[in-house]
Amino acid sequence: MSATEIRDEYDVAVIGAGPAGLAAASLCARAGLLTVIFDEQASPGGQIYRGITETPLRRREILGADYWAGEPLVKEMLASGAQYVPRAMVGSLTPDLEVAVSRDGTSHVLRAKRVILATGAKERPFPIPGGTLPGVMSAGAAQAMLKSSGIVPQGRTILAGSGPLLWRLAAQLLQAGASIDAMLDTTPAVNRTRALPQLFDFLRSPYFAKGMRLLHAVRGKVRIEKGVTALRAEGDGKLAGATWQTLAGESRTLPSDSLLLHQGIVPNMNLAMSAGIEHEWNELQLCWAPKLGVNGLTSVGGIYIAGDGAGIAGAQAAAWRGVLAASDVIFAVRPDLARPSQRYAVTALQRFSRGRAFLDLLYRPAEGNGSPDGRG
Amino acid sequence: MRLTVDGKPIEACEGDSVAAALLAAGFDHCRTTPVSGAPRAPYCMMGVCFDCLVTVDGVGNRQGCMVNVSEGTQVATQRGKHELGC
Repeated sequence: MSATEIRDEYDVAVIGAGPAGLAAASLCARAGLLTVIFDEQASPGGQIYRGITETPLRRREILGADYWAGEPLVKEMLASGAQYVPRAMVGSLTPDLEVAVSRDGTSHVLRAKRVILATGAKERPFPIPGGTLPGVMSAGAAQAMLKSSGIVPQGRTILAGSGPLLWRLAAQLLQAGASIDAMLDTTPAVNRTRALPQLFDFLRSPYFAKGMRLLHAVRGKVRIEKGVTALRAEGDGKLAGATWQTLAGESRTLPSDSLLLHQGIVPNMNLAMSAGIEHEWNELQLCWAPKLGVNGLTSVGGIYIAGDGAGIAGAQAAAWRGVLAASDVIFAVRPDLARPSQRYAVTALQRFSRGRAFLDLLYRPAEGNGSPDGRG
Repeated sequence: MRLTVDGKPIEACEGDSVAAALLAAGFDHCRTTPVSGAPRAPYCMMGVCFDCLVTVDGVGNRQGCMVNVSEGTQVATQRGKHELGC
């Protein structure tokens, strides 16, 4: 059997090669478990560390230190002994841990003693009138192209929406030499009041300094409009411009060739839901999230969820969740092994979870931004 | 590397997805929709929106953002719905 052949049975199947999956697979493999990690992309890193092994970008400052922090995670996974299977789409996962995966047009069915789902997040839909016009894309799409191909939008570019990733994209595009005509911030003013009770925790969190750096990198270099509502994309057959209402209620318009939309990210939970895992609606984060027990155990025995797929908490929290899920999996499969304390990982996860509530409240999408007519 | 799109040769780089290559080459749209014939272009670039459907090397309904370019890849923009078996 060659190294690339997919076996019929594994101790653990990890699905997704972002920070959570990378950390989980590495730990399991190093502990001696027969580990496979599937990922649908051609190279590891998930979305946050997308293209990290092959990005054509030479200057590290473009993507920033937070991005390159993923490099050791990827290197460790590749060295750990886990079987890494890229370009593999997991099409089904049953409650009795049967995994069906498709790669290069061939299907494989395998069984694992434990499964760790680390399928991460996707952007929260931001439907606006005219949003299907060529030229309108998500902020994540622009990031993906920058990371994987080193390309930036041409022509007049507008970023619109709300959330830390929009600012991060702006900073990265500016570093890459792209010009941004405007940032249309749809964050409702009332959110600042709602987020205030969480401010103290935020100031004590790792995200405060990061946030300040991002704002500093962008403010003064880009025209920023706040309190934007009634955003529309206009054009005939392709994007010609964006219109919106200002905080004062005036209608504005700006010509544009690229309109990049973003209003946060939500768990990518298709596979988890299809496995019958129980989910519940998170009213704060306005998304479905799995109901999880200790260390990411789901309602289906033997299946864990780690990373942003468990609930949006960022890349570092994702990695530590991967560590904790893997730790439980290792103990379940190899109870004979000495069991190290989880204290360090638990403390680290707490540290990287602090301050998230502030971001969730501050950047909670405006009422009505869930549908193009403003009613959802 | 070179690929063709609707018979037209374009340049792309190793590691580019078909969708990224199309956008970089200045293509306005990659398909037209089955119901209204509206032009569509890639939206999410990560495989969750299905707006970037193209025909790659004769196989239709491929997500352009999930297929990496190779030397000589033949891409066709998809007009309306894709018929199975074609």
